[in-house]
Amino acid sequence: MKPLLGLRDPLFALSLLAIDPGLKGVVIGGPPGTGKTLVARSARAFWPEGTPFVEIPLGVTLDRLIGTIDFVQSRKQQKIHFEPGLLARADGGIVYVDEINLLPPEIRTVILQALDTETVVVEREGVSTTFPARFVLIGTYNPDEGKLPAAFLDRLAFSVQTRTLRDVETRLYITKYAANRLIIPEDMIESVAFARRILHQVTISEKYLKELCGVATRTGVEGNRAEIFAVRCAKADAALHRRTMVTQGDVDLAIRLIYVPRGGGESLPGSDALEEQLSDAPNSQRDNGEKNPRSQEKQQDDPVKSKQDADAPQPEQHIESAGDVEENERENPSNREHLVRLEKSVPLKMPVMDAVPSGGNRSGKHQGGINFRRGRHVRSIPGNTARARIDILSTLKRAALSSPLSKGKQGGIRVKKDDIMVKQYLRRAGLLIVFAVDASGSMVFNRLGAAKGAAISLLKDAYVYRDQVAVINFCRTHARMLLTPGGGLTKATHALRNMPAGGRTPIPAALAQVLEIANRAPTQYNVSGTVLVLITDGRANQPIAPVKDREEREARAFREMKKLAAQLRSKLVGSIVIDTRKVQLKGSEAWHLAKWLNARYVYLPTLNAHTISAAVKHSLENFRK
Amino acid sequence: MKSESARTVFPFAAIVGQDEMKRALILNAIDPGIGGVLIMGHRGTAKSTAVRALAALLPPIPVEPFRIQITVGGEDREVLYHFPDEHADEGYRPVPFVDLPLSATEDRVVGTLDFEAALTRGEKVFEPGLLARAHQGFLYIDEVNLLEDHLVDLLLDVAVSGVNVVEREGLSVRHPARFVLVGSGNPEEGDLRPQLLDRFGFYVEVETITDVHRRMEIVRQSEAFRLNPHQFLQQWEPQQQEIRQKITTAQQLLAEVDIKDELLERVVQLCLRLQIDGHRGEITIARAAKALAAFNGRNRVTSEDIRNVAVMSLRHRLRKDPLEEVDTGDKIREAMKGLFVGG
Repeated sequence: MKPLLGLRDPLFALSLLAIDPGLKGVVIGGPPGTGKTLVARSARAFWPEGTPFVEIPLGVTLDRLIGTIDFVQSRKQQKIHFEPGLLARADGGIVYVDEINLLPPEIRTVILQALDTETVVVEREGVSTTFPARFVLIGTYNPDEGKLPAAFLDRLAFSVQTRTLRDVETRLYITKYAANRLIIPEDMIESVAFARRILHQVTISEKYLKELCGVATRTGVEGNRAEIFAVRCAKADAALHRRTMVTQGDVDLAIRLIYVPRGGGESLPGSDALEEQLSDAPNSQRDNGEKNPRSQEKQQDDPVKSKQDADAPQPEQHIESAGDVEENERENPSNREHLVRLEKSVPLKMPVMDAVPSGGNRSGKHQGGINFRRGRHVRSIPGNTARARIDILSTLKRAALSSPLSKGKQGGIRVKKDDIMVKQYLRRAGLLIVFAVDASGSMVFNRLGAAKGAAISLLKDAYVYRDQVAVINFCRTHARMLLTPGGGLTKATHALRNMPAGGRTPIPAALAQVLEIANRAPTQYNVSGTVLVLITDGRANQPIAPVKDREEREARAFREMKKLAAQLRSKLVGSIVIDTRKVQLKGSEAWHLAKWLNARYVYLPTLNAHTISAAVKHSLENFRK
Repeated sequence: MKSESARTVFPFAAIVGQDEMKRALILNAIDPGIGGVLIMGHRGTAKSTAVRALAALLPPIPVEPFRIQITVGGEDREVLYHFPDEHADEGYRPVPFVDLPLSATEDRVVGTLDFEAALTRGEKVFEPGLLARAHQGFLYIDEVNLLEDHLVDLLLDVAVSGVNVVEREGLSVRHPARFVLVGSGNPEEGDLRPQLLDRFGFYVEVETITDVHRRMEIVRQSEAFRLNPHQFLQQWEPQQQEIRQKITTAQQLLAEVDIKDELLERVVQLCLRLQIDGHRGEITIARAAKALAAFNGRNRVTSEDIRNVAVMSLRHRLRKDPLEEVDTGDKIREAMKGLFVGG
């Protein structure tokens, strides 16, 4: 039995979500092995028994998500029987998606629309109906495998991270054992249940309402959802503490859980101090856990003691004017005592993990081989099943027109060969075009401006062809994804115009990132292939891992570049290297790189933006075929 | 197979701020000929809330016979289709409001053969789709920039021609489909094709409300609605009724509203100054200004009416280069200087 310290924020968020479904959802990000899926699945305990918990697999189809016609039932009942899908089944409960960042965008959008309207509207294949679908969404993901779009995160109150644990012992423990579930202490579950009952009585004073709205304006969050979530979060937290009045502690928590992840971190005075102290706080609990593994259990068994740790057991009206202490705290937000009190007053005890050893298989995730559909089923046409998937509904409909149920024997339908209808899918015909732009110090001399100009004009074409675009920038020691695929054109242009620059040339890091995107592109972005447009002088001098000695550094960077280029070759449908070096040399670094990549080589400085984009456009045309 | 859930919708009158968006929706309710609204902008700015709230404000419309022309095996037939709700209020029915889900399939949008009739009786019965349901009303696409291209093309074709034509299983079907197209979305999630932009009468840009007191108001309204939706609706009913009444009066007054030639000339000048191709710009401004005058109980368009509709009528027509960000209105306001002074 071990406490799981890195899961404090996820547990907070999940318990608040269980109190108020109006908070809509929680996404939990973190590296593998930090217990994300564990906490997400175990959090069911916060909800009353019998609450639906529906897990949506990555390969889910729209039919499974929304519902489809059930043939067996339809035949039995002699009329169309529609079987609602996963979302309708989740009504009143929880929808859980593991690796939610890898969910195809159109599936994600359908889930979001249902979350928003609390209904599933079915207008598919002859069925027109509506189902209630009031659910909350829980998602887990590894941010290294792709970020979640801000527009998605905005719809849910919480985006929290699991922390990598520092103490070796706990880490080893987690990686060594596959955990079955977290045991969430009974009194915590009871607190949540109680909070749910008193939530509607909780009020917030004008002062705190103003503070929470003021933070929204000061931090410049986009949209007006954040403040609604912040107030709900503060209210739920008050209810969790058995209060019917929001206090400064609830407000601080809302700021930390709602505004900080929305990019409000830097502009919040004292938020660093707050964060720091909060992360220090559980140390005492950790010590407890390590000294005596039984101590957690003991606390569990002693409800009186743990309730003393928490606030008063009955809802209690806090009178604003009596808040002298609170005023004091407000003036000094990093007041240690206040923060410690905040931490202490939280009735969450670190849950303990119930683990069984399992032969080396670390996490409870699916074992690869995710099967995605090829685009979207748009219509069905008569055809041959040898090359296409049969559309049973349309086939039966067609067959029934010549031998309806009422005419056939025993309700059977005779399907003739020419009744067969096959599904026609629509797949985004576009490509994923990755612009990797060198912004190292040497590029400043090599017409970085012209390179940007060329990239921007190429973006225009991408737009016309419905291609998706990603922009990677590399300089100093890293490659950064400035624009993830699917972002708008305006954003792409903006990203290119304002990219950071200077320092060394980490081409290997950039190629490694392209390799990763190219591997994911067909499934995650639903494109037919990836094209790399690499704008650089090719003079790699920074390997992926830091090296002190200069000669060694450059030699290693060169080796890595060559190796990665060779690997990338087979993953791309095409690539273009735009050499930005001022003086053209036969056999320049970029020229070699182009050769290793099997890329089209374009020499920039002698060309203008127009001719270069024409050249690249021509290449793209070929790649499209 | 039909089960419409009666969900309580946040009242239009209680939406804080976003005046341009609200005005755009109301003007389309008064005059559907304006050509719809595209609402783009920041996430979390009550875009879909406002559009869905509009339905509750629309006065009922007289029931008209809905004729479907069907051709099977070279033989023409005309079928009179009855809307499920047309007997609700002697001779009147609620204005149709269709919320198009992104997951909709083509057959449900344009209409298809009735499955049940085909399976159980072997009959070819045409079941009208969402385009028929939206006839004389509104068709709303939330996240319009994420809708599949083939559906977008189809919707635009029908929105322009006002007729839906379906060819299926040896069946050829035609029926009228005149509706106001409303779309909303966040440009960060995907771009709109220029063809789509141009088809909308108005283009409204919404932004985050940053005034702290208004933000507080937003939270208060949202919480009050959540805690007791029915009481909240009741509380706002007088304001809702007021807008509803103004729309009804405006619809009746619309035919009488006049715009002076001299004012119309200046509208044309504005479009010339801004180098707007075609005539859609000035036509939209004129129609919208008339609807606005009618909404304010006047039968004459003023300069102020023009000022209040020009930006949303022209914003999307300025866009030439897909890289150029859509004008935020400054360019239009600048061009209007000196043209529309006084009331």
